[in-house]
Amino acid sequence: MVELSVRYNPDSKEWIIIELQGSVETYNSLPLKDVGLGDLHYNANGEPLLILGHHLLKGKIVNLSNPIGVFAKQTKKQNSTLSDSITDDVTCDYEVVALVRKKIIFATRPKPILVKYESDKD
Amino acid sequence: MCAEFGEFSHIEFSNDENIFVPQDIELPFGNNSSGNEQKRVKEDYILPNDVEFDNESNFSLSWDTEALLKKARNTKVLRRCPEGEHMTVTDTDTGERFYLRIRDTKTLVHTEILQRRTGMLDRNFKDLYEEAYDLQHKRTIEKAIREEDNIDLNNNISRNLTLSDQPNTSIDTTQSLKINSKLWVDKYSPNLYTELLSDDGVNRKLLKWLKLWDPIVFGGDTPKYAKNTQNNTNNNNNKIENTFQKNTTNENVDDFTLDDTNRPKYKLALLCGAPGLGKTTLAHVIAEHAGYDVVEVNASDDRSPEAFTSRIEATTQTLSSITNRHRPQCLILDEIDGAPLNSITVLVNTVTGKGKKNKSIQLLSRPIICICNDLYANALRQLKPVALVLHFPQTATTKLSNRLGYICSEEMLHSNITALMMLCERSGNDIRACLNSLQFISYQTKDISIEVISSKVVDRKDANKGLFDLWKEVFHLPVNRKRRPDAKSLPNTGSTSRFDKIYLTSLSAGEYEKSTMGIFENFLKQKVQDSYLESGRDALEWIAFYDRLNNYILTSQRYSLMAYFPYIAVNFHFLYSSPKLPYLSYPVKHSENVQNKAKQTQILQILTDGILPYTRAYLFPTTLNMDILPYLLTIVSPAMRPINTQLYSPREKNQLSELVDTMISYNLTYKQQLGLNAQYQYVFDPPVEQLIHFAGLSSREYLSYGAKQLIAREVDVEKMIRAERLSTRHNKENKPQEVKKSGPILGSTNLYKSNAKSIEEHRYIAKDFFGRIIDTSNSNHNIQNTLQRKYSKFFIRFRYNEGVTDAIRRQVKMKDFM
Repeated sequence: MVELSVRYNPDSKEWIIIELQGSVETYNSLPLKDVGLGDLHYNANGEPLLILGHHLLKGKIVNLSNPIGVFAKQTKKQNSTLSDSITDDVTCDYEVVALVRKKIIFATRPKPILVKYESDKD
Repeated sequence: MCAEFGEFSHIEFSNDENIFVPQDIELPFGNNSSGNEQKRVKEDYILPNDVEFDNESNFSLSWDTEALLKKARNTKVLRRCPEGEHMTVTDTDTGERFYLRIRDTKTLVHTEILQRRTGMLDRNFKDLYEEAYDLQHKRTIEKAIREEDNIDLNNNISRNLTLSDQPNTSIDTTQSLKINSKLWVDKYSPNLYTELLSDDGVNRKLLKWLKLWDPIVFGGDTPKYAKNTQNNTNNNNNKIENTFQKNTTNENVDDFTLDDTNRPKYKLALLCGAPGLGKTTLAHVIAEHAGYDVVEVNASDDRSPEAFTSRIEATTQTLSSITNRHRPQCLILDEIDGAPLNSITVLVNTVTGKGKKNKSIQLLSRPIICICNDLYANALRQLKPVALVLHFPQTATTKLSNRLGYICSEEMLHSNITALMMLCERSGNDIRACLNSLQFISYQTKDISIEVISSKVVDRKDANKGLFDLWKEVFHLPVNRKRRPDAKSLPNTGSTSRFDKIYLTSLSAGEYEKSTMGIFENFLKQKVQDSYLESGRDALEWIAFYDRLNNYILTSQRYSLMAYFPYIAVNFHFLYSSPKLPYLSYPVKHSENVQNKAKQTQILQILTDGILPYTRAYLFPTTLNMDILPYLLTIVSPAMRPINTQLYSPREKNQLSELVDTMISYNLTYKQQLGLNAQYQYVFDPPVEQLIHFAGLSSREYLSYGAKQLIAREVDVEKMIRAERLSTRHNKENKPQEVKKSGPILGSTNLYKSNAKSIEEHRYIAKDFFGRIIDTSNSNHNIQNTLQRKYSKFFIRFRYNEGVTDAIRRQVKMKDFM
């Protein structure tokens, strides 16, 4: 049996999953790391609107039937006397970062946002 | 050659009156004469070329001696210089010299005669003329006799009268001409079912079928043998069938099935057989027998579709009013194989009740009998499935000759059965031909003997014999009837006559290509007693001769050489004929092979077309086919594990890439195909297996399904990679144009992209145009800046997937958590 130690230290902020039906691409297929996805707004009825690139997505908020825990894995290296085995050297801790109870689903077909440039008139 | 004379020697003239020498024949001397053209020379008798009539010649014919003398006296063409006034004539062809007596020309009447044989006729014109005259003479005499008979009822007196006064009798006979002019074929045509000469089985079958219509046409009960579709009483029917017909099969039972409208299953009967077997007669007699009025439509009637329809409707829906008997009508369509295809379609539609959709369909309620000679005519293709097809076998010789004997006795002719049987044989058991020739003979002589039949009148039927007849004759040796004492005099036994017979048949059959093929494919089935296989050698030499000759004719267009073709059949006859009836099959091998070859050549062509240039440069199609392909297929099927390529060892990976490389360079790949047993299998894409597969050998399955699938995928991928590489290289070489062609394709941002595209294009064109980058760099820079600025907002894009949840579920192993 493997024993994993878990610490419960959830974030005070509420986490929400954003589920997109589709894929997010970047121009020239650059990596997505550290890229802002888009702007999330709520309209008067409380419906979420996501502006992603030049698309406007309309979604809805859904409660998850089973809340999802977000764990952060924390590894610590221990200097052991036995240098042969590597596994023993590393101990693994898990910290519950957040509990997700809601998600926003963007399942409808996105609407394109047309931008009119002044340069077009030239 | 002696046989020809042999045949000639049978000519015997029984009476003096037969030799009639016309007195008014005169010979014009065109270019033969030496200037004496005005002078007409009386010529009584010109001999045919091959029968030279001279004092010195030792040739003898069995003429009556009296006739001989008479002729000798009248002969005016002489070999020796005669006494008295004469002139000389030199034959321009042979150089022979003849002498002619010259007489006074006052009394001569002008008639011309041909001295040379024209070649069109078998015999000299003179002879024919003589015979014709003779015949006419005799006929008038005979008629006179009959006339006398009718009046006096005394044969003997009138017979003695005949020879003399011709003009008187001929006037008298005009009345009796009408009575006698009736053909015997019509006169003695059977009127009752029992008089029919054709095969009993066919007769009965047709009658049974016709009787099936009774419930519809006349009302009343269905015949016992009728099989109803509603209640299958098979066993009973079978028994009845068996008692009537020996060769009853299930099919025969089915022929007499009734459909749900209580009509026979087959609405038509189709009689087929050679001419003169009595098909039409049979149809008429049976229809009469079954109580119908016969309406016949034959080739001389209008057979356009409209006429056909109206005729059928008129016949099947009305009663005849002419005969006042009020019988239902039965339509007989004679010689239907000559009818236009449209008409046949109309007929079939009427019969099956298809076609006219708007009209209320009138079900056919009267039987229709069709008659044809050639069952395999194109027009009949539609008809056959809906018709009860009855093949007419040849009339039995004994049956026919008995009937002929009866007719002879009716007509007061002396006959013997042997002669009549021979007549039947010679005409191919053709009833019509037999009767016609018998009637013909009867005007000449009252005595029907073998000699008469074999010599003169009855010649072989001038029917066009088919290829099968030719092959049958070639491989079938007629049995020599040695028991008969007069067998020697019969003309169809000697080898010369056999030679002639085959030659003529082959000549008339024509289609030498087909006939030779048929001989070639069938001759090895013949049994020969030849331990040295010499006949085989000779036969093949003849075939080779045919090939070379045909080749030469086709290349040089010397069609006169085709005259040699018939001799091939003749030679095969002498090499391979046997008394047993041969089992013949239609030659199909040649066309099959030609088709096969075309197919294979095409495969090879497809294969070669796709082979990469550096491989193809050293390949000839034959080399490829003969030397490389058999091994290549083994080479491209190495032992390999059909597992994921990721798990291959470097060596295996190397092997695989080499294999793929080889396959691509030879334009090979695998293709999925639904096999015969409904299972998918991978086969080579140009189906090269067929090129190296031989009939006797089992085709080897080299690789497993999985391996082939893997290779096919790898080949596709490799091809794509190569194409990509090629296009990118291409791009590099002439980039500007390439860019113009292919705008940015990515994403669904059509509108925006198209904007960008136009700008980009503009930039590149400018560069192209001026050839210098520095000049335009300023503006370029500006544009690029703005572009970047604009794009930065939309660095990220969203691509919507319709109707698919793109949820990803990954298997995570415990060790990942450690």
